[in-house]
Amino acid sequence: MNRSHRRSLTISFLALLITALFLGSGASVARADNGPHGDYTATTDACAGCHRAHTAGAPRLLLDDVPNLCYTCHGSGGNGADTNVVDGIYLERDLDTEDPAEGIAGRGLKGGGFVNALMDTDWDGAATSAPTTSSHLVDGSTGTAWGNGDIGSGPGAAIPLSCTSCHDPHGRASTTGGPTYRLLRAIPVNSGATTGVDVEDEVDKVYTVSDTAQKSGNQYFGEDYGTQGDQLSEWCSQCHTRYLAPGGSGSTDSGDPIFAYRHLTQGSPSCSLCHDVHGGTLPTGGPMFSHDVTCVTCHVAHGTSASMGGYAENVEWPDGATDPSGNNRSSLLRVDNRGTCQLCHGK
Amino acid sequence: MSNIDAGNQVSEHDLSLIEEEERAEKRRRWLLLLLLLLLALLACVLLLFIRYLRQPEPLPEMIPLPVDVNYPPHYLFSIYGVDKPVGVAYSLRNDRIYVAETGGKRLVKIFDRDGNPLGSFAPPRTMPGERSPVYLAVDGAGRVFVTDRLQHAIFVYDENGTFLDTILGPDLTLSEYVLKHVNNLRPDATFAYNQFEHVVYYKSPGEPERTLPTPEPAMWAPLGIRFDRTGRLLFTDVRQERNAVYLISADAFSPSSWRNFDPPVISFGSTGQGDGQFLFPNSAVADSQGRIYVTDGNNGRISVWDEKGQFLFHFGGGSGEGALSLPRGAAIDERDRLYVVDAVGQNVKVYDVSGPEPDFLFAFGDWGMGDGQFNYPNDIALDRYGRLYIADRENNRIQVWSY
Ligand code: HEC
Ligand code: HEC
Ligand code: HEC
Ligand code: HEC
Ligand code: HEC
Ligand code: HEC
Repeated sequence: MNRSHRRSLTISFLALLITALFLGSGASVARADNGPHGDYTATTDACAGCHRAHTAGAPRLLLDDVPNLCYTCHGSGGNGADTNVVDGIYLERDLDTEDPAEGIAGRGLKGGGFVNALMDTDWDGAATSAPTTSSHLVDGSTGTAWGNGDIGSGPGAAIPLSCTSCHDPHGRASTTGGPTYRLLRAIPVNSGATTGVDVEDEVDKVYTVSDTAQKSGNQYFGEDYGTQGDQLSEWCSQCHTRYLAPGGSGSTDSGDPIFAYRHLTQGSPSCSLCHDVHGGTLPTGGPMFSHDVTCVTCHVAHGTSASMGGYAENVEWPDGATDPSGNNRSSLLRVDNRGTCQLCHGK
Repeated sequence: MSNIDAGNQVSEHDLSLIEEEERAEKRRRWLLLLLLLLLALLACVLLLFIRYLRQPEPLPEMIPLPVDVNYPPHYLFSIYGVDKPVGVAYSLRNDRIYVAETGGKRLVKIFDRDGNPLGSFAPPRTMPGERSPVYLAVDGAGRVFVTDRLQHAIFVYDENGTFLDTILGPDLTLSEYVLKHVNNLRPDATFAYNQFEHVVYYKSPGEPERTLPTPEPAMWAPLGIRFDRTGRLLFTDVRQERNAVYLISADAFSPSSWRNFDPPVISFGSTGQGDGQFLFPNSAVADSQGRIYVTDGNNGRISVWDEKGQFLFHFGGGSGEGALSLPRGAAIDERDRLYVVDAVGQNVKVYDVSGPEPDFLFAFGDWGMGDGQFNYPNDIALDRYGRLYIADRENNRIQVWSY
């Protein structure tokens, strides 16, 4: 028996096993929209949508092919999904306000976009579609997962990245085989993490940035992630290990030569840090949208069209490199320059 | 005895003479026949040559050979210079190919049959991230209809890509909307609308551009689009609330009705996985008997309807020969062969639908980057010379196959 035979046998066996697992896991609550991801029933043809029906061989999915598969539905043509992650736009056209679909038609997706994004990054009240300036690179190429690894382990391990590094297209990706927010894998692939973080699934899915505190409908800052916010901070930090910082980290040396003093990224600070409850002083300046400060308070998960100028465009990378500079240094931020900081600190 | 013998000898001799003459005569006749045949052949070759000089084409396209329906086509060549093409259409009027791109600048590109570029176009006043041409259809007048998933509209252009109008909903065109708000608009006025900006623009020559508030957005999301043989427009709607197929009669597209667009519409289907339901229907095509075949994308099957919009049956689901993974663009030829592009199956599957039950004939193509291999193909168009044009998305090309 040659290698490829063995491989296809193994894979067929795996496929059988997985199907059995899916089907065996019993009655599940039918979720509003997992599309073809998960909730497989005994009569399902759902595997066929991503795996070739007739070829007995391997699923043939190399890492760099994965986005092509996902874009077949989630691409700008929206031929098989309403979440167009290429342009970061929700394509659905139900305008029925009584029973809104999973977001608002033509509104920006929470994750931003991989090629273009429809964001009001300059906070002027109008959103225009613009090419993304930075994004997680999902073409299977290898990049430095900044902060990956223990204290003192350098800028971070280099790992290849694709959609399936973060998402499990088969759903049920929690540590206990339950549903997760946006099919996020409890343990991102190649993160080196071992315990896993479950980001709770939403009951009613909303894919677009919300109306609250927005002038134009596409201002990405001020999104209230509730429970998912803190969980997402922990989740992102399975790859970006040393970015997870509790309150007070800004003035406490972590012991890491690179990530020594870090901004709070985990949960809410104690009230007294900002509100002098007894003396009656109010927080400095700007609107504090949510008391939580998590990764997704400042960053989007996929890509941003924010632009950087002045100081912001020349910030050194954690490994000391300064390239790429300019707008490429937008680091998935939700607002231009350091507007992200202003909106809380109002300096 | 000897006399008799002699007589015999004479007659034998005579006989052989006569025989020889007959043989010679026969040979002459044969030669003459051969000569005539050769002359006829020469005439044929000459005629073909003259035709060739006037319209150079490969031989099989000049002499339409009778083809068995179960005879797969072969790969001819590829048209490059397109960025992630997902839609392709052929114009009977001028033998042009129109291609919709989802990558780069997202243009619709025009080519001749040999792949020479002739131009490109896009909706006025849109940025690449605000438009997404997906499928196209060309009517008898050569006008090009392009569905746009981001704009939720069908854009209409003339054969050279000059913007004519936008269909904003099953009963509203942009020209109609502007006319409703502006009195005595000049016929040569131009207008434009981008869903992401909140105004409609219009301009009469010599006057400054003016704006109008945006129309009430229509509850629709047009995706697949085709004209059938009788000139009716078939399109699919992938709105979550109601996935459906729409049929608009041919006379709706006569020039006069553009500014009073309210054609009778037949629509059928709903969202779901049951009989008569769809999940992201990607195209709808009609056969010679008027039956309608819908590629029911995320359900991985073809659903069949009669001309009045009554559900008949579906096929192509499940596993086994002819089973579909992710059916997308489709076309039907004059022999009632249904071609379905299977995006994840990485091939084109062909069914004979001339009988009461569809028969799977063959599939062509396989995954890869070489000649005749596909990388997430999405749409197909047929021309009248037996050529097939397939949008090979991730290989950034249109593949041309031929019988
Ligand atoms: C939405 C697309 C999608 C659907 C639907 C889907 N798969 Fe997958 N499957 C993938 C991708 C993508 C991979 C490659 C995973 C990776 O890159 O980590 C994969 C990998 C696999 C593997 C290889 C092992 C692994 O996990 O890497 C098996 C086995 C498998 N799928 C079985 C199934 C079965 C059985 C079904 C139907 C019940 C199914 N898949 C439905 C996208 C899908
Ligand atoms: C056959 C079409 C299809 C393919 C292929 C596909 N998806 Fe989806 N996906 C959908 C649909 C439909 C939804 C439901 C939401 C929508 O309409 O966009 C969805 C939803 C999702 C969601 C949100 C799920 C949730 O619970 O909120 C994620 C994340 C996702 N897909 C990731 C992927 C990734 C990663 C791939 C590639 C491995 C992929 N999809 C491939 C059709 C598809
Ligand atoms: C680094 C991890 C990561 C990668 C890589 C990634 N995603 Fe996501 N994705 C997320 C997270 C986190 C969210 C939730 C974003 C939010 O709610 O703010 C998300 C959200 C989504 C959604 C829901 C719509 C939205 O924007 O909120 C879809 C669909 C999706 N991803 C598909 C994809 C596809 C397709 C790819 C590959 C082209 C991909 N993702 C790559 C982490 C990732
Ligand atoms: C208060 C806003 C804020 C929060 C919260 C935040 N970041 Fe950042 N992040 C930034 C800014 C601003 C940059 C740009 C570089 C800089 O100024 O240090 C950045 C840059 C990065 C980079 C690029 C490498 C680098 O350091 O320059 C990574 C990776 C990153 N952040 C990950 C995370 C993760 C993971 C979390 C959550 C654990 C997080 N960030 C939370 C503001 C924030
Ligand atoms: C699977 C591991 C993984 C996860 C999970 C992950 N990242 Fe990353 N991230 C990477 C890698 C690898 C890079 C560098 C290469 C690249 O850009 O893709 C990176 C780069 C970044 C950058 C710098 C982008 C730039 O401009 O180059 C930021 C900011 C960032 N991540 C934030 C986040 C946030 C926020 C989350 C959670 C929503 C997250 N990451 C989750 C692996 C991950
Ligand atoms: C979501 C609101 C929010 C945003 C956005 C934000 N901050 Fe803060 N910042 C806080 C809070 C809350 C604290 C108190 C942190 C603590 O408990 O350690 C803080 C503390 C600080 C401190 C003092 C740290 C210390 O412990 O002495 C600095 C400096 C700071 N922020 C800078 C920034 C910069 C730079 C940015 C933009 C990259 C930024 N902040 C964005 C909420 C925010």
